[in-house]
Order: sequence, then C-alpha cells, then structure tokens
Amino acid sequence: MTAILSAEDLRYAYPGEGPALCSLSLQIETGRKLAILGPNGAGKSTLLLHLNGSLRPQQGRVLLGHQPGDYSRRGLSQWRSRVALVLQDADDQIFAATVAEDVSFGPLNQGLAEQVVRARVQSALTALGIADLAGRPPHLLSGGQKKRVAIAGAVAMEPEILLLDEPTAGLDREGADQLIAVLRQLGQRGMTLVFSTHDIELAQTLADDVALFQGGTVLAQGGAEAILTDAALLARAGLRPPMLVDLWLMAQARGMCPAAGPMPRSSEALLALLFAETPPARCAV
Amino acid sequence: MAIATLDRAASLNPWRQRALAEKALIGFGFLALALLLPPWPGALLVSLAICAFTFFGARVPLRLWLTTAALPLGFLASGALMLVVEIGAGGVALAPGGLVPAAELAGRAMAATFCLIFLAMTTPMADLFGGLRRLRVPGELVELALLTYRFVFLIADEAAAMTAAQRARLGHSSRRLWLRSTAMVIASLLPRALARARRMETGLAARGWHGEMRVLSTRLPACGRRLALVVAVQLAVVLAVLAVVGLG
Repeated sequence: MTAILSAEDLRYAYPGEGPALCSLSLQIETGRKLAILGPNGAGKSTLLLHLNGSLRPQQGRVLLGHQPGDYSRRGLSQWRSRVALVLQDADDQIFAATVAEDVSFGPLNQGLAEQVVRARVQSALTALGIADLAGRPPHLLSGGQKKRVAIAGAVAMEPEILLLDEPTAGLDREGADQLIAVLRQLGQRGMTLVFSTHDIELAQTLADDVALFQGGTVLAQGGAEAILTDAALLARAGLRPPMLVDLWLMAQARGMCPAAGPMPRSSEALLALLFAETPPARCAV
Repeated sequence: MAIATLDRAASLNPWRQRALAEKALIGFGFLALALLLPPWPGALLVSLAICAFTFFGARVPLRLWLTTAALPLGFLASGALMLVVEIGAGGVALAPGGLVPAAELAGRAMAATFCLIFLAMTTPMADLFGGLRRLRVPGELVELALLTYRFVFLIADEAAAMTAAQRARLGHSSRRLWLRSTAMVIASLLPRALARARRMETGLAARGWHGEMRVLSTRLPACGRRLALVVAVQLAVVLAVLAVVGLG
C-alpha cells in the first residue's frame, strides 16, 4: 500500500499550553477510510489541521506522497485542492448567502471556469442528496443539512483526500445514518477519507483502518478489526470495544460462532454468524 | 419579530423567483416617489400602490405583514406624537400648527416603510447581495455586509442559548439578576464571536480562500413588459398627485 499523506514525528503546542501533538506519526493509504479514534482533547482536531497545512508543525513534517508539505501560498493552494477539510461545526465553514453559492466558493478559488464550477456544484449537491436546498439560506437549514452543505463544499473541489472532524457530532440517528451512507458512497468513488471521532461505533461501522489516539500521539494504527477487538489496547485510550465486538468475542469464546472470519459490522452480520448453522426457530404466533 | 422569520418569508414568497430589477424598481421607485412628491396626496397614493403590489402581486400574508409593520409604525406614531404636543410651563399642550407637519411626516414615513417592507418580504438578503455585486459595489463592502448578515444569525442563536441557560439557573428571576445576567451575555458574546471568526478563517482557508470571496450566483432575467407596467403605475401616481396639487 502507498501512503498518499503521512505525518512524521509531529510536535505541536498551542501558545501557553502543553503539547497538543507529541512525536506523532501516521500514514494515510490511498482509497481507504481511516478513523482517528480517541477521547476528547486527545489532539485529533489539531492533527487534521496539520494534515491540510492549516497548522505548521513545530517539529517533524507532513508528507504529500513523497513530497514534504509546501507552506508557500501556491504550495498551500495546491495542497488544499488535494486535501479538503470539513470542520466539526458546519457554521464555522458556511458563509455565503445560499447553499449553492457556498458550495461554489472552493471550486472558484481553484480557478476553474464558471461552466465547470456550475457542473461541480450540481454534482456535489446531488452526491450529498441536497440538490433541492440549492437556493436556501444557511440559517434555514437543520444541523444535518448544514453538515452536508459543508461536506458538499469540500467535495465540489474534487479532492483526493477528505478530512472530516467529528462528522456525526450533533446529528440525530437518522442524520448520522444518512451521512454514513454518503461517506460510504464517496469512498466507493475512490476518495480517501480520514475522520476523527470519539465514537467507537462509528469507527466500527465506517472505517477500514483505525489510528488509536491518546495524549497527542498515535498509540496504534492498523486494520479496524485488529484495533477494535483489542480490549487491552482500547482501554489504554480510555475506550471500550464496541458492543457488537464484545458480543462477537463472547460468542466466539463460548463456541457459538466460528473463531475466525471477518469482524461483523452490523447487528445483521452478527446474527448471521451466530445462526449460520442453526437458523433461529420461528416464533409461533 | 425575529429576523429569521422575515428572511424565511422572503425565501418562500412567490415573487422570490422574479428578477431583482423588477422588485427593486417597485420598492425603490415608490420609495423615491414617497420622498419626492408632496405628502398629500402623494403618501396616500404611494401607500395604496405599494400595498396593491404587496398583497395582490406578491401575495404576502396579511398577518405576517401586520406583525412586520407593527414595530416601525409604532416608532412612527410615537415620533409623530412628539411633534403634535408641546411641554411648556403650563404642562402638556397641543403644539400650535403642529398637526399638519406631523401628519405629513407620518404619511411620508409610512409610505416609505411600506416600500421597504415590500422589498424585505419578497427578496431574501442573498438576492440583494447578488444584485449589489452586479452593480459593481466594491467587493469588500459586499463581503463585509454578507459576513455581518451571516454572523447576526449565529450570534443571535448563541445569545438565545446563553440566555435560556441562565434562565434555567434562575439568572433572570429578579430585575437586578436580569441586568447582571444580560451584561454577562453581552460580555461573553465578543470573545465568542472572535473565536468563531477565527475558526471561519480556517474553514475558508481550507477551501483555498485568498482574500476574495467569489461565489456563483444565479441571475433571473427581468421581464420588459412587467418593468413597463411598473413604470406606468408610477407615472400614473405622479400625474394624479400633480393634478390634485394643481387643482388645490
């Protein structure tokens, strides 16, 4: 696998505070969905801001492919065209008077022709399922809609990598489910996704890989299954395995399902494993 | 009435899809007539005409219009009252000759207010910003207005949330506490607004912002026949006023 974006030995401290990142290294692989998983205040957002050049490390470096990040004006423009960032609070990102105008902002900054920008806006709005909101002003949108507008604004730039800070924070179940479906689709289209979250269930549902975060550094990075089934490792980051994984491991220990095989990602998948050989008896009504 | 309600009404108005030029000609055209023509019968005719456009043309709901108009009309009434009465040695009395200027001022201001309400109820701010850009108003001014407009809603939301939280902890249970709590909200809004502005800067920079906020806006073509109709009504108002003034 080739790392499309990586961090080497990053160190960063906000003025007057202790280190937010300390000797942090991380690899992001092409076409994968990476969850940056850790408790609040572990430095996840600070890392994302480094990955698109918004913050400059005080030590270490960020690499785009094999090239070290270029912090000149032109270099940053190219960097941010390839690596888009969606902030946690969509209100921090949406500024224009209507949804379509806001989404057109990024592509116009890339210097694209008006015709191309129009097409990009339309396809981004359609991809996020919000084409009907194009003319709406942002203060008349719900939280979930705002979130999708913010993501559309990044997707319209057609980046290789999309960074999302706590994408489901503040969304209700339905909004979160819709968002997860959209992110999956973007992943299927070949976009590399990196999202920070403290929600281990989200990591389990969506991520191919997980980087476990604690105290400004990566405790472990690997496939989602390897990380999320290692209860001792998770405990070091103050986390517990997802309930589904807990149940799966317990069922394995009791010989109720095969001891090998991929981790179930949904309740249905776990049920299918549990009742693979003996289908559940039908309830008599 | 909350500003968001007004903007929502404008977004949903059937005339939202009309060209900005047409609505601007109605709103600003009649506004100019209200200011330039002699208040009698100019103010009356302008008020009637603009109300006809508001209710029969743009189909603005009367209830919404009344709640919107109540506040400015209240200000207007209290202002006009000040011109009518006079406080002297003998107490409060009717000012000699105050009635006519008060009525003229109130009539003119009322007509002008109706014109602005027409614009506010048919044209969301978003469309006005697009129009300002096309008129080549300097970009910095439009961007400043745009960000101010955007922040009004964000900060109002934050203020409302903080006030509700204070109320929940009895922060508004007496006059003195109310004053103290409100002062605290005001004091904490500034740093919050600054922090938000800083985060917004990061968000904009992440989308390649380098000092200019360009966005694509859609432009609706104006209809020449409708423009001509509006001008005709405006001319008719002018002629009617001139006729009445000439007869008088």
